[in-house]
Amino acid sequence: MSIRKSLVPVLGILSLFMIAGCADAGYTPTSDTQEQKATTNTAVTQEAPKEVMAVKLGSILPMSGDASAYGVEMKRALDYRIAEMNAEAEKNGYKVELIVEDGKCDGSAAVNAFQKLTDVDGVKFIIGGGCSSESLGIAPLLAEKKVLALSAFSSNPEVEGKSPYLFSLSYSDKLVGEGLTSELGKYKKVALISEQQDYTQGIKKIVEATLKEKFPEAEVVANEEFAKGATDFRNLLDKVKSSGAEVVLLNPNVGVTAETLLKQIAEMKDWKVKFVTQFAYLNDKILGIAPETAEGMVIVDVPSISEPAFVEYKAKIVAANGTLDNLGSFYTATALDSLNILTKLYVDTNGDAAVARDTLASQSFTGWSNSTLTFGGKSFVQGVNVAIYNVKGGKAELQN
Amino acid sequence: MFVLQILLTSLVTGTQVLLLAAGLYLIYTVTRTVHIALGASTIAGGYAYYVGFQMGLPWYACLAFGLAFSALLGLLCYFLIKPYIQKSQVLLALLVSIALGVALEAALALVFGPEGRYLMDGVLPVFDFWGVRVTQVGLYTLLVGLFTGIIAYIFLHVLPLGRVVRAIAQHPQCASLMGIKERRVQMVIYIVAGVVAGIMGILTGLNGAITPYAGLQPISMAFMALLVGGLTDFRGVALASYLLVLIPELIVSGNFGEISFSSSWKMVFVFVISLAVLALKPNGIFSSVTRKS
Repeated sequence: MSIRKSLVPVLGILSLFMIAGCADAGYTPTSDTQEQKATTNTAVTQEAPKEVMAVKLGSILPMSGDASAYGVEMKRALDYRIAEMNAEAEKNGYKVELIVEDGKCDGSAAVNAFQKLTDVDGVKFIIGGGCSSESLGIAPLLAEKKVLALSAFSSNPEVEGKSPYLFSLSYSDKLVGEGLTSELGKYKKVALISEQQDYTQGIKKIVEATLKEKFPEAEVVANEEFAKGATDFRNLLDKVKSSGAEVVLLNPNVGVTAETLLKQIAEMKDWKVKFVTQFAYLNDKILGIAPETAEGMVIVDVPSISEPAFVEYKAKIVAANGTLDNLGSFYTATALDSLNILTKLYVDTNGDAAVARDTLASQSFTGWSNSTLTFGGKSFVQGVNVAIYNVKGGKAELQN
Repeated sequence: MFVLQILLTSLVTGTQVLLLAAGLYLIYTVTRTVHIALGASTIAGGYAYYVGFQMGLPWYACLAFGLAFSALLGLLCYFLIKPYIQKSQVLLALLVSIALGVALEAALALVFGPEGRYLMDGVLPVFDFWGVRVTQVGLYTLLVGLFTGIIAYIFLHVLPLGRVVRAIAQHPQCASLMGIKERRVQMVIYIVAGVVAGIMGILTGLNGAITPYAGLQPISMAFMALLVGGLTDFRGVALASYLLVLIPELIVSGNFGEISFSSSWKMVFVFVISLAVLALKPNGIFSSVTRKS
């Protein structure tokens, strides 16, 4: 009796945290139709005529965790575009429903999200995974279930060839890694600082291999890693400083980690060294926190999309749904492209993912991120080049 | 100079661990339970400060709010765990504490989002002592640690309440027969531990950033310090708190010929050192061998 009594509060508390866990990080999966009811006009809420095809898409995005900034902003872009498409549902002959699940930028969480989308919601077309970890996590399941996944920003080179049903509109990190190495290879003593996370580790491996192959005279004098989401780098930075490196690769994930790393470098006022980094610092807000430290920093990323029509369209999304600062112009474009392409494939193939896969692998599409998007049998979209930015006065300026 | 810099930075981190370990030690002393939720309470204190900061309150008001919230949280934890402490159900008390910690982290993530938060804008002010740097917050952390150490010593060895705590630690039944109100002392200790953890959370947040799940590593370190230092020996806990930070930092910062360890090895060394000390001194650093009949 007493044991039973004493177990009641324990079970109560366990239930409490299980419920809290289910709603992890403040994100509740929503379907597009639910949100549109509150945010858009009559076209969405009215009952669709029978001839309007329901295009059911799923999405696995990092809605919580370190990379949630990407997921949240990508959803803003997708929501805007879906509202636009659904406003003309009768004219177009289809209405899009998007079910977003949280992949937490983690392979196992992405698998859970994938199983929910496919087994419960019956989804066959997925925008995602978002992070490379998510895409790599779901890759082994795609062919088995004949589910087509088109990622907007998975860039880890391991994505290539992982599954015939997995595609990415992002550039491969191999391009960025080689671009970073070209900058690092200009110096004799190189230090690497990387976060322990799939994306940054992918970059690190490419840089190490390319340095060895193309710049054998460059010596890696420090090669430091820190735990995912760490916020104290002071001893690590002192160690790198003491190594006498002439150039330092800053390779954190986007968000608070990148910001904190820059702040703590700024505390070391006497450290004059060249910093080379990836797109985690392609954000004027972060660069503005420590402009003196960031001055002269070299950032390697894909070219910003400056086509006026796209800039105007992106501004409309920002005005309607909020900022897209972390996503940037390229990934905003790939997000919209992934939705447009999957919707088109769904409509054209009547929801047959296997036929859609063959079409995606072999044909070309028009898009915002590139006028012609072609996979040519590969997992990554072809024909993307890197750009070099130089930081001047707290702003990243395109160099090439 | 480099070694001095590592020493000073490690002293700051060691003090943060000590503040948390002190809370664990006090609670263990009077209840014989390990309060793992203290890690999440630490971060909750930091978030309470953050709320004040976002409201534009001055730092002392944010601090008062953060500490008051931490005290309340300590009290809440006590009332939730009390039934198991009273029945000496140590394992259930530990389970409830872990559940509380997870629930608290999830609640923080729900309310504030998973991304990190800063308790101070911009780059931190830094003091430079002949080439050895420490942030202003780091210096405050060292002073708070010193102050807390002195207060803890006075509390435990001079004040009547300290004698009561030691009496309960030595023999709870006997203390009870002497008229000591054990439950009240336990409640006060939970509140004190909550406040000390809150101080640690605020200082850690000010010195870097806080995330809802940032309490896990500090509580792991503090727990190891409690085990290595000896569950009922505060001198040992204090020494272990610093050593478990300093030794791994020196190992990963050093260059041993061809062998060099990345900073990500730190926690591995923490556990290796802890296991080594526990193998040699299972009852803590300062324990002596006692003859068994």
